[in-house]
Amino acid sequence: MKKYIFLLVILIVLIGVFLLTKHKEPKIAPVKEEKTMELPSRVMNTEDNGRDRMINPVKEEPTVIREKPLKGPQLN
Amino acid sequence: MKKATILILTCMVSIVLLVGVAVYLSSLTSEKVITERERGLIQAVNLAEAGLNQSVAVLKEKILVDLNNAVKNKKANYFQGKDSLTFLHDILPDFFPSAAAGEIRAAVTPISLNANIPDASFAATIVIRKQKYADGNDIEASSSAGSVFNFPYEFSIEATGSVPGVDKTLRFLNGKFEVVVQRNNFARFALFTNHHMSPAGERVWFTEKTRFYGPVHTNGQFSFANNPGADFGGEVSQHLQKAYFYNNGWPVQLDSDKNEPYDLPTFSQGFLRKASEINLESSITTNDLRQKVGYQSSGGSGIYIPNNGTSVTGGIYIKGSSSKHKDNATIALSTSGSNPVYTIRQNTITSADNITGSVTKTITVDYTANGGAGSTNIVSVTRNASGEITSTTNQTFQGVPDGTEHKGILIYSDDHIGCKTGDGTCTNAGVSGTVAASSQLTISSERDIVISDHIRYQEYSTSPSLNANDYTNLLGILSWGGDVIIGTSASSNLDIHAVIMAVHGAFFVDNYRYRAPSGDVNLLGGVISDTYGAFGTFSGSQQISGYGRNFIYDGRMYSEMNPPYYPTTTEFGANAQELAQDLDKMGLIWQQQ
Repeated sequence: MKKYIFLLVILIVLIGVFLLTKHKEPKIAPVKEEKTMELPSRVMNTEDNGRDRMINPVKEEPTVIREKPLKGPQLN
Repeated sequence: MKKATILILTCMVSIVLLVGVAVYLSSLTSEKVITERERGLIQAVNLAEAGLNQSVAVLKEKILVDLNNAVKNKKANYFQGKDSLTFLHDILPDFFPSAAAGEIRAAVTPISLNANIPDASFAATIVIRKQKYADGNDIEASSSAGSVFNFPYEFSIEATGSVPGVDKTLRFLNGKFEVVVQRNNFARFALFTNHHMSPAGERVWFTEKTRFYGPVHTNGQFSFANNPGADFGGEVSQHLQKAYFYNNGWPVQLDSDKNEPYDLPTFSQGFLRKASEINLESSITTNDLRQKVGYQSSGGSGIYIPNNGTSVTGGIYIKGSSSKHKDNATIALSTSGSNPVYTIRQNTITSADNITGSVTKTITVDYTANGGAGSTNIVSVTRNASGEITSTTNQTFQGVPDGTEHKGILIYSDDHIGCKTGDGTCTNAGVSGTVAASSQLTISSERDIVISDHIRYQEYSTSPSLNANDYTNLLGILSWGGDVIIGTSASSNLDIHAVIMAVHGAFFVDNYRYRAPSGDVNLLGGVISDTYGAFGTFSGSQQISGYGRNFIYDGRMYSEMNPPYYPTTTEFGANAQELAQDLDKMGLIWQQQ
């Protein structure tokens, strides 16, 4: 009986030690290194070429001005 | 004894379970910390990246839009001798602070961020310096011809994204751009009209037979017909607020880009109404061009190539009687290898407008002769009224007829070129042929210019669409006091590769009301005219007569390229080609700190 109790204790201690070491909180290393690389593709094609505001359509309710009907072929 | 053993065992199991739970909770806490930190890092990097991208957009807007507007009404002496960094500060002081330690540091105001990211922000700074030579010395601003000013810069952008507890800095390095300030080029449009009516005041409609791929502007108002309607691939703008719509024959004016269901033009880049009026005032006059071609008021009608006996000293000019048409010149453009050959024929007439004979000059230009100085061979053939040759001369001069400023070949006429309906029994055709690969040419007249058939560049591409982007050949057709007219002899589905300008006239099709339906005019270039000439007539969706329009803007005109001696506006404009490119083509280096 004592033999089994002893083995159980050893097993429990080993499990405890294993868990303690396994889940020790890792330290977060500060980011110090500098990386230089070509422009990554994920930031491409996201720019505004700066001209958009020139072509924003005027959004106002249309006011209709009616003219006389046209007769005959028209110029194009 | 048994009870004691069970107690001990229970205690030990409890302790182990407690330790296990403690370890588990500890690991949860640490993982949460790690996750939050990683999330913070990612957020900070994304914020910094947003800062970089916003800064690039702001820089583009400041240089391509704001600076372009700010230089518009400046005089040339404003730019002359100005230091590059001082120029930026003086022209846009609200954004570019004074230079310190050889650089301008402009702070970018961050965009409003999503409120779901509390306490998150970024700070971005654009740093602008002068470009440097390989030896480290600054490249200073320069100017040429007193009207083109170059300001070369290099720039970097630093953006720091911040969330609570985490800062992350990213940089764009190695940016370069050159601001070129010069008088604005008229050839900036696939179509520009001052008044969008025919010369007779009739409305000319954009129909489904109208396709423009490039900037289109009028200082008046456009007229749209039919569904499907015209197709516009570039920016479209008009000065007035309302546009005309055909409305199935009952026209209406609307402040709208469509009139459903009858009139539905397609705008790929929008239709801006109430746009600023664009001044068509030219910085040069006919007298300037006469001077540059070497025009002499003395001497009678004829075809002249000014020279000093050994070298050409100007361009090519034609003198004629503007009140008579039988002496209107005909110009055939052809090639010899990649060099140009111009065959110009002019009838000789009496004061009663009777033909007494003709002179034909075949002018062959060789750009590579004389060690690159070029040569011009002129074969002149004179005929009598019966068409018999009465004399022939053959002369060769050094140099090419590229005007006094050597900008490109210039053919100038003080008379009409070609004949149109209404010019009597005149049968002189006008301009047609092939523009040689190595040549840049402007054909200018104080009167009408008739296009008699296809005019094509020797080198052009149809992939992905019609363009001449990688080629040199270029043609400008410029009428100062008349019209540019597609003649009755022109083929169906006519190709015209040229930038066409009628300063006080229109570009239209001769006999457009009665010419049989002839397909499209496929123009590679642009049209700048005072009024909008008709190409044909339509009824409903049916083309009754004439041509449709398929106008493709020659994108080379948006940069510094320009037909030789082509007029510029009195206003200045600024451009920086490097900033007009997509971000991935700007040569920037991305750096993470």
